[in-house]
Amino acid sequence: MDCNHIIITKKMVKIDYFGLTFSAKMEVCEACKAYLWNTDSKEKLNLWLSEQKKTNRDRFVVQASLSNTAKECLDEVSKDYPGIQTSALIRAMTFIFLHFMEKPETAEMFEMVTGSEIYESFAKQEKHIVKIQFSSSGMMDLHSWSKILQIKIPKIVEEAVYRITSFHVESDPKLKAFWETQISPQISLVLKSVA
Amino acid sequence: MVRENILARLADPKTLFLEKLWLAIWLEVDLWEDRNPPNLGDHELKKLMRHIPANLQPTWSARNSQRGKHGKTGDDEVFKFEFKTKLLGFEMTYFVKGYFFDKGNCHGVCIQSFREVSRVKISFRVK
Repeated sequence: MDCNHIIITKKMVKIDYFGLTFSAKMEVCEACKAYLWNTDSKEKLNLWLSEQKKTNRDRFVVQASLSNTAKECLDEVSKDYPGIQTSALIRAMTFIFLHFMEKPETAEMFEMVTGSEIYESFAKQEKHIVKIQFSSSGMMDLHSWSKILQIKIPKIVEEAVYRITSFHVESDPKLKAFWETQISPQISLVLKSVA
Repeated sequence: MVRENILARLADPKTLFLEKLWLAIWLEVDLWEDRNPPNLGDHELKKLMRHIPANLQPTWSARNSQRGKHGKTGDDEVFKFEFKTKLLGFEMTYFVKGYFFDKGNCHGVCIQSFREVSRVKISFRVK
């Protein structure tokens, strides 16, 4: 079960990142077939990602499918940020959602909001496709969380929008306070930083 | 924190294990990914680091392999631990195994295993 990676050879490894194939010579364990990420291989990946962002921009676009209510909620939230496009707001929400998921105490808040009526209503309606462009680091974050949560990247974006907009309409004092003191200021900050 | 300060904290025997792991990961991490059973990568480990309890005490055992870039210069002992976290309606348990390098001059960590060992559906409600 716990391989100690005793016999190692250098081999060409191919790894899929959001529909693109990264290939590099890496150290591979003969016994368990694991490949080693070290400073060299990580630098190769970063260079490759920068190239892909220039040549395969469409692969950095996520197509999420949002319900009517979610779209209406987004329109409502966007009134607080005049001149901001919906795609920029969704990108900011996704970034903030993933940031909060890194801390157990805030990740738990995002669990609690799923008991609300508004959150439950999102699953039942007709869906609209929205396209959101992400940076290479943004896509890598989504890729990592997709592996951790075992859900597809578009679903992460949808959950980010559903859960954050649920906070916006929440009447529970604890969740409402979380929107006012944590989420809303963070959305402002992220939108200002990219403006 | 500047590199010199991080190295000083890593060299300090009073530094708690989790802080040492955290600092070593941000300096240099070698990680074996996609083994059987599948390992997660260092991006994933960094994202879950805050989910590891601060008072964590790993178990230690002698290291068997001296292969790899830091195999000969790394610590003689490997650490192992498990931690649990709750995300998007599931409680996950993760296993981590690795060793610090170099011996007497810690500036990184090799993660030999980092994988999810269990996933249990849970439910949250506001009220």
